[in-house]
Amino acid sequence: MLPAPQARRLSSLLVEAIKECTEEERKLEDELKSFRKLLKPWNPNAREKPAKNGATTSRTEHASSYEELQELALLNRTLAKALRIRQTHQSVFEIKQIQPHTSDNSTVPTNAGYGIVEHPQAASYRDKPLEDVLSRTLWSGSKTKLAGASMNNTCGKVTASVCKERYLSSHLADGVAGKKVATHAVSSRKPESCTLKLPYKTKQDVKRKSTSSTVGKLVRGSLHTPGLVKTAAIQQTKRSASVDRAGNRVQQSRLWSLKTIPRTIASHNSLNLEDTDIIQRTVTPRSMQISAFADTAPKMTSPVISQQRANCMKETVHLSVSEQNMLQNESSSMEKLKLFTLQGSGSTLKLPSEWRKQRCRNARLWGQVSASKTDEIQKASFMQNIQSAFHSQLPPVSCAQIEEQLDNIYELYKCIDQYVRTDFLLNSSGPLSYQHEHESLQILGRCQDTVSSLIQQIEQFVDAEMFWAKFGSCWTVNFKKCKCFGGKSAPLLFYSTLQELKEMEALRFQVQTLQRQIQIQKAMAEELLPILFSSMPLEQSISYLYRAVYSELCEGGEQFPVLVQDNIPE
Amino acid sequence: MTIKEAIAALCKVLVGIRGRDGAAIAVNISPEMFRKAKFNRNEVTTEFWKLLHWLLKLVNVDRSSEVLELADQIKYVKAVVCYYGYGFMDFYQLPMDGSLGSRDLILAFSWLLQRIHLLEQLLNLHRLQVEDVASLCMCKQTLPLRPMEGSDLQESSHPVEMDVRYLQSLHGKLRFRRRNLYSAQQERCSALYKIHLYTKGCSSSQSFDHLSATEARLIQDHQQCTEFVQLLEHENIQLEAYLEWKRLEPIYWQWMESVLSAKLQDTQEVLNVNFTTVTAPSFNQRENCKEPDAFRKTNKLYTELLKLQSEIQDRKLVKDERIKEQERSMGDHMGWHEAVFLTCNLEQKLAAVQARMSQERRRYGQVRLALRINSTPTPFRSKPPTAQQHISSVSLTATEMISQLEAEATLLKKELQELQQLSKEGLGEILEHLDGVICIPPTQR
Repeated sequence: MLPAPQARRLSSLLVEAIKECTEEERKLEDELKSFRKLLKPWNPNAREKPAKNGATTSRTEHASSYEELQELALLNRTLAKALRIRQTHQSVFEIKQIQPHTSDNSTVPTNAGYGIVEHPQAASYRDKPLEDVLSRTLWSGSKTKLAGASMNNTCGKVTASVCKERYLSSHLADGVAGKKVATHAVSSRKPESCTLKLPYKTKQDVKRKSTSSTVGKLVRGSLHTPGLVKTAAIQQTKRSASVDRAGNRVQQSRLWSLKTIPRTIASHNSLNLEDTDIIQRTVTPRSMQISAFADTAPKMTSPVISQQRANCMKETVHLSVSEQNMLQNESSSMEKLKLFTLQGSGSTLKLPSEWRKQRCRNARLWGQVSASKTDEIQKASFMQNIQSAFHSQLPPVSCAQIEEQLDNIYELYKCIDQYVRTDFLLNSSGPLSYQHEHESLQILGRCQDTVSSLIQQIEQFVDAEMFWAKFGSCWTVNFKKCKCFGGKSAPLLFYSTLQELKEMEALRFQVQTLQRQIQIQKAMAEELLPILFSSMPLEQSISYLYRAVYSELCEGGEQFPVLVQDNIPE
Repeated sequence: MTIKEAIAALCKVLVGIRGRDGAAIAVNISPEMFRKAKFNRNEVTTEFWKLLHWLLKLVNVDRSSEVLELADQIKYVKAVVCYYGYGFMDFYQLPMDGSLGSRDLILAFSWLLQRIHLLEQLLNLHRLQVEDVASLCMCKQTLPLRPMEGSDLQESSHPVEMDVRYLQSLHGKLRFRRRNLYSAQQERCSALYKIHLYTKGCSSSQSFDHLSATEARLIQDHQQCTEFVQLLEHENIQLEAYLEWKRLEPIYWQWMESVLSAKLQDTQEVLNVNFTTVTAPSFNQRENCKEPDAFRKTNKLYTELLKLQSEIQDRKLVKDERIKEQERSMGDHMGWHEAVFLTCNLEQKLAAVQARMSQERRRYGQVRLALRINSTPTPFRSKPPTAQQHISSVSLTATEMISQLEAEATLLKKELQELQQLSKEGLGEILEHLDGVICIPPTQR
């Protein structure tokens, strides 16, 4: 055990050193982050920051015309394809019961709520595999939880919104392709759904396209707890995020607006009417029909609904699967167009013109500043007058000057000390020749002179310090000022290989570490050795202390000595 | 060119100085303030105190951002001014509520302007760094040991012992942190190298031909670019204001002389008072502060020098004896005047140390890194050197710095080993007192 004051001093010293290291490391980490960003591929023409995963802001308004053209082309292509596919599938467009294939392991006894419905239009059994595909892709990992068959309004609404959200996000994950498709799907079903009313107003906005399709693919009759909703939302967000990387920014804004929906859903355990209203208000007139269905789902034994849903789902799935590849191709080519690496084309970079202008001006001004010579006469005479009017007993050196010169004196002292101890001539014990003796006498004389002058200086300093201390300035301000040359701009350092730079940094780090270590070593020796000396009577515990102190002081804390009890009787 | 213009130029420079976070000075500076101070009017005293406090905090790179009371600010200013050796005693006796002494303050301010080149330092301090800097500071910076706080004093009344293992664990933590820091630094080096290498050919400077990491970032991030452009613009305005001030400076100093003479006239008797009566009461209120490190260092150095001197003295005596013996034995065969003194390499050594010290005066705290892959160390100048290039004509190479650093590192390593050896000896002594215990030191790695 160590007594408190010394231990506290040491521990505070060590804690300070650790803090210093951590602080530096943190700063370096920040810098390194920006460096890594630079070295990865990035877009030099982007006017805005590249969108982060899942955290996009609504900046789509800035999309360059180039991007929009690209996207339009893509959409047109997908539209054409969708139309083609629709033609082929129109004939097999039947309804069969849509079991809520929401999970692989659920039993759905109360599917009856939605009923097995026979629809006039015969649904082909081809629906099923598609639905399976859909369910697998969409509902992976989610469990079905069916509330009581009596789907009360709230549940139904939850379902509606929940499932809608699911569809939304899943749809988005599948890319743009689905959008157009679904719109068409919806439009195709217009005649069947005309019996239902549109209770809600619609809101036309940019997000229309994507929402319409997803809503169109609406909901199965399964209920999900909000918790599941959340996990699904997260899953979907992740998938959407991965698509984001393909670089379609316009899409992202839409994604963003839709992603907010899942979160709102997740946060409520039971949605009330208002919420569903809000959600549904973002839906377009066409899809409104479907949402209306969803809302009234519990009330209907819905052959109609199931049919729409089946249609939507099937089409979407089919198309999305087929379109996904296409989308990927598109996005990758876009990617190649936009991204840029420093490695590849760093030499083509150009600094912005305003920057260059200001830099020129800046350099010119600094040149003028350093070249400016003022009329020194007035300045000097003022200083003379004021210094002469200072107190007569003021010491000639100030604390600042003392600190500056103390290091120099220390260096000289060390030099002489080392010389005196190690020089061959001075230290040889045997008799020397007359010449050598004289020489060594000369050397000693020279040393003595230097040392005396140093002592004189130091005495001056000591007197000055006594004055200043008495004067009350013992509270020297916590100067962390580096005494290095800081007047002019930092000089340029040229290096030619990575090895040089690394070596230089390593050496500097070593120097700094050694300086710190020396300081710690001195402090520890000062504090710990006396403790050992003084606590010698207590022999039992001292060996542990001894061992610890030995390792700290003599081995830098890295190795331990071995203490052996020598109690073998002689 | 009136004094009012000169002071207005000075005020403009002062107003433009930005603090660490871009904070501007909180004081309302105007030429009126200076004029009133000349006539020792009391309304402007607090403003001057605040101004000085703010400027000195910036110059001393004082990171503490706590907002101080006026009395604390005054204390701080007095301490710093004393540190630099200001000699008007009545300055230190100014009241702590900031009610008197504007003339003294303006004198102190002008004295500081010259003494520590206040404006120049401030301009350089917050200069926009565009290139990649590396710190090559080799001066011995000691960790600041906080003085005993109030809570510590309380604890010392019932001392809580600390286990030595806690210290060991702290030490180990420190070593671990250092290793992390080292790897981070090496990563930074390679990242910088890559950036410099890849952006070869799009130079912004005449001396090197690649972009710095900051510049590359500006291209990547437009928002940051506009920020930087604004900062640079601000700096340019500052520099222009500074140049204007330089032009009008002589008038200011003439005017200050008049202020000084006015003061001396008024307070002729007070100045040469015996300083013991000037024990500034404001200072002595201070709590028991420990002797600052600088004073301790001086005292230690003094004792060591005295020791060295006495040792040299002894040796000289011994040598003298021996020489006399030899002379007696040899008779007068060899006169002392024939003794050919070999080149005294002590002189050389001392000269080398002096040179090293003056070189260290040119120690570089920070350097700007630039990649140049060619064999010739001297930079190739295609244009005749302009004023710009004169400034940056001081350029170093990595190889020079490496050798300097290596030398420093070896010295420090030796010093550390010596210290460890001393500790070993001390512990050896202790061991002798412990009966029956043998210490086997660990094997050398």
